[in-house]
Amino acid sequence: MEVKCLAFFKNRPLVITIIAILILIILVFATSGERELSPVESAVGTAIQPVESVTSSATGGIVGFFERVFRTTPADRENEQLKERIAQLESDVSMMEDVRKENERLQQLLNFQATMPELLYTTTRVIAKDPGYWFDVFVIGAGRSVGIEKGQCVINSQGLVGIVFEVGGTWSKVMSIIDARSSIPGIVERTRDNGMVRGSLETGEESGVCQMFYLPFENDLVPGDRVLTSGLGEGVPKGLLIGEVSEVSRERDEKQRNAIIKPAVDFVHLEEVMVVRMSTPSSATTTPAPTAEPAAPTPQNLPSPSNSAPPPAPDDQGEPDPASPSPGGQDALPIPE
Amino acid sequence: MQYVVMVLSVLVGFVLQTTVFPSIPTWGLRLDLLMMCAVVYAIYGGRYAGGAMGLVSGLLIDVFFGSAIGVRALPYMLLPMMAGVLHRKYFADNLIVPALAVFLSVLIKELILGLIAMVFRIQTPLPLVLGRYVLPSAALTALVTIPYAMRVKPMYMRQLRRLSKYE
Repeated sequence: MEVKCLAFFKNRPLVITIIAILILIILVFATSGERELSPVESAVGTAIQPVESVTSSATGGIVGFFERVFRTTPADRENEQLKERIAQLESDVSMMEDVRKENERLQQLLNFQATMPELLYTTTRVIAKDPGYWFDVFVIGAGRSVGIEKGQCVINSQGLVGIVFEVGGTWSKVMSIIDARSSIPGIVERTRDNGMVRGSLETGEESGVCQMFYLPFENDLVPGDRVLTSGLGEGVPKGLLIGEVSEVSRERDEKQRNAIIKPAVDFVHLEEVMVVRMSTPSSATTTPAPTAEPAAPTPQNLPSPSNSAPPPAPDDQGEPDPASPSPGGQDALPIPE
Repeated sequence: MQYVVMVLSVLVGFVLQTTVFPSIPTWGLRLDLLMMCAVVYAIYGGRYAGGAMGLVSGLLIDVFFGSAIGVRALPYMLLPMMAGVLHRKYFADNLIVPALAVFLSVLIKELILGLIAMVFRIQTPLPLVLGRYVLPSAALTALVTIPYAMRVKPMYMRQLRRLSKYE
């Protein structure tokens, strides 16, 4: 018996494996509740974030280039003399097209900002997405260093995207509204009925859907009704578009599921997003509201170490200085004035 | 050299899987390169090599996307270790075995994660997601495994032949 025991402990790889399994099981339970990112996790993320950020930025251009190449007509391909020239031009056009599209998206974000000037925004990029099926989490390239905090909501020009649930130094994890764990208080714009909007996997759609629960049974929802945030949740401002009702269930025995919501946001093509925080009444009055037609962002506006502004200094109320430009740094895009 | 290739495989696989593939329209199918690398290395290099690769891969995904550390690291470590049973069990030019092992590993990993989601009371239409996305994705990953295994195999062939000579 003793010899067997000793033989077991002499098998070092097996012992290490068992210890690793035990540590992982302990970690699962120790980290499953509400928590902050540990320094080790934050450091690992910070080390890998630049690689992900660069790859993520480059991917859009490369995909766009190949899409254009495949669209080239056979006649163009046969022309040997022009082939090289076309490739060069295609490459240039691809780059310009990419910048133009990015410009458009940023312009839309700015226009959206103009509709809600009382909020403070940090614009950033989505740098990585969860490769699994069961959860819908993505990583953004802005973190604690630019004032991102847990619980802040993330939007784009289409509507509500998700909620920040863990914050690293230069990156943050965002749980999208289509994640089955997400739960956002919502209100139907037309009927003013309150309910809870949760992510759902049940329809199995790639783009994801939400379900709205706890609506009054006598509600007269119809497909096409818009659902907005009700502002009841902490950190989620009122009036952000969540999506549109696509299906209503009125069966009496199905008391919980009231409506299926098609999110306004296209989660498959998510690139730039804004992290929103509510400003205090005093700062809201002094925050210069963006103009309806702001200067179009140029590649020079895009993040680089040289144009990164330092994190905002907190004022007396603990809020960032409203007069200062939107904080930049890492992947936070400065908002052009 | 083998260790360098292993580390590079994990890093490249992670970056591709989380940044490049989500931008490419694939009808909801997702290649699991990290599981593929770990299982192939487990079959050719041994269960501990594959297990270590899987552990690092799973931890990376947990740190970046998970709310609890270890949920994905455990299946990513244990499944390649199980596939490592095949190590030194066959030496022919059979590439179907790694492909099949990868297919089963991806399937079982998603099944485990789906069950974990159910345990945490997340409404999980297991058959729907498995049928529509997981099975085709596992098959696609298995398909990609064949050329990958063809590249990795020569690295280990000399070692495998030496070991088989002494047995």
